[in-house]
Formats: sequence, structure tokens, C-alpha cells
Amino acid sequence: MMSPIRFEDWGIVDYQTAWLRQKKLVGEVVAGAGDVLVVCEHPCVITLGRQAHEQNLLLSRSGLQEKGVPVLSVDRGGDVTLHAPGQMVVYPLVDLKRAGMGLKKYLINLEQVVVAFLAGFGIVANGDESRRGVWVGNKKIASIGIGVSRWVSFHGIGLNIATDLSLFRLIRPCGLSVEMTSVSELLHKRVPVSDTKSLFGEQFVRTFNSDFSVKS
Amino acid sequence: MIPVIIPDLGEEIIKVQLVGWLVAEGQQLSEGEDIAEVVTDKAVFNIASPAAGVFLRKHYEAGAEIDVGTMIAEIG
Repeated sequence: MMSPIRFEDWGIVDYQTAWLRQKKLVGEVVAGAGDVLVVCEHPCVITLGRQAHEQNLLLSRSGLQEKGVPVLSVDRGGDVTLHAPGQMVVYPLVDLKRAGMGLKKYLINLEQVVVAFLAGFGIVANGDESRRGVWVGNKKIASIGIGVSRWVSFHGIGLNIATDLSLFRLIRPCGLSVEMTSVSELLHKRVPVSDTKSLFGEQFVRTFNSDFSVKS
Repeated sequence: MIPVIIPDLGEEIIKVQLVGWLVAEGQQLSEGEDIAEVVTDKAVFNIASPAAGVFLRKHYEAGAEIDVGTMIAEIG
């Protein structure tokens, strides 16, 4: 069983600001503080993980710059991904040693949180060990990529709730030729991210079998 | 000499890829400082220095596939 986890909603926050805040929290968790679950949204940004291939950007860097979409290399696993308003970004800062989890178990648990969360909306989804992330049929709804420093996780999940899916034409998500989908597309109605954050937090606690406290 | 070893990363993970070094040979390190990044299955794992000391020698270069449990560097 995990130790109690603190829930923080950062609203819409610039990617690099959120990265710095994550790093600070990692240091605090390493020093013995409790785990933290952050949810937020980012203004449109493309990030390249440590397994990224430049050809998975489908527009030149100068073209992306003209569109006002920054491209950042970041310290997580995986290839290229995109964040934009309408996507719930989840950053669990979890001491994996304390929680008794290896990397694989943790990644599977992240997928399972999303699968269970989507089931609450009547959406049938599944994780996939050979192409990590969460899928609804052949469409991808959530991308996963993490970093771990001194056994504390950072980075996490990008889950499309009401993301403008046309933005994904700018990249080959996770290096795969796949279509992306969102909760809003699947339910044929716009679902605001703000309506889903606490539900996600509650599901996270159930899946990880942790207690919960909230800090806004 | 203190070895830097790829730790057991849990369930079924037997091999990682070295992304790169975060420090240079000859550099003074503090205990717990991140010195290298390895990657497996959508996870980047930072290898920490097991002790304070000087980063003496790296045994692998970026891109190398390395078994868990392998010594990848020396600290003195």
C-alpha cells in the first residue's frame, strides 16, 4: 500500500514552469515528504522524449515556430508527444521504493488508472505492453512517459479529454502512425477537463491503493 | 574504487539503454547525484552516484545496451 498522496491542481501552466515545479517536488519526496499527484493542462507544446526521432515531427521546426508551437527535449521515456488545452496532464510524484513497485508495475498501473477512469464514462479502453499508452480500439487516447530520479517518478500521462485532435497532425504520436481520440470525441459532447480532474484523482487512489488529501 | 551499477529495476527488466552521461570524468560528485540516464519501456531512470567522490571512469558510451547488474562506471 502506498503512503497517503497529496492532490494538486495546477490549472493551465506553462510546460517548463511545471517541469521546474516537478523537479522541486521530486527533491521533497526524495527527502521523505509524501507522494504528490499533480493534474494540469499545458498551452500547446511538443515534447521529445529520450527515445524520440526527429522525423516524427511532421512539420519543420521553423514551421512549428511560425505556428507558435514550442518543441522541447525532455527527460522522460518515449518518443514525441503533444500537449494542448483540453488534455489532462498527470504528473504523479511517487516514491516507487516506498510503494514497492518496479518500473514495469508502475507503468502498468498508470495505464490501469486511465482504463478504469474511462470505464466510468462507459468507454472501454485497454493498455498495451507492446505500445505503451491507453487505447480505445485502434485509436490512442492517452500517452505515457516517465522519468525516475532516486526512485521518485516524474512526468506521467497525457490524457485527451477535449483536446483539439487536429493538432496531432503535427507529429507522429509516440513514433506511431495512429489516430488519436478523446473523451469528448467518443461521447459526442464536449467534456471540460475541469469536470474530470477529481474523478481521475479518486481513481488514481483506488488503483494505487493509497489515501488521499487535497491541496488546491 | 566504488562501482556504479545498474540497479534491479523490478519486474522482468533485464536490459537498459544508456541515454548518456550527466557528468564528466574527473568531476567531483556528491552522494545521490544523478550521473547518467538509462531508458527502458517508456521510462528514463536516472543512475545516482552511490557515494561522494571523483568520477573516475565510465565503461560505456551513450546508446549502449547494458544488462541490469552491470558496473558502468567507477568512483574513487
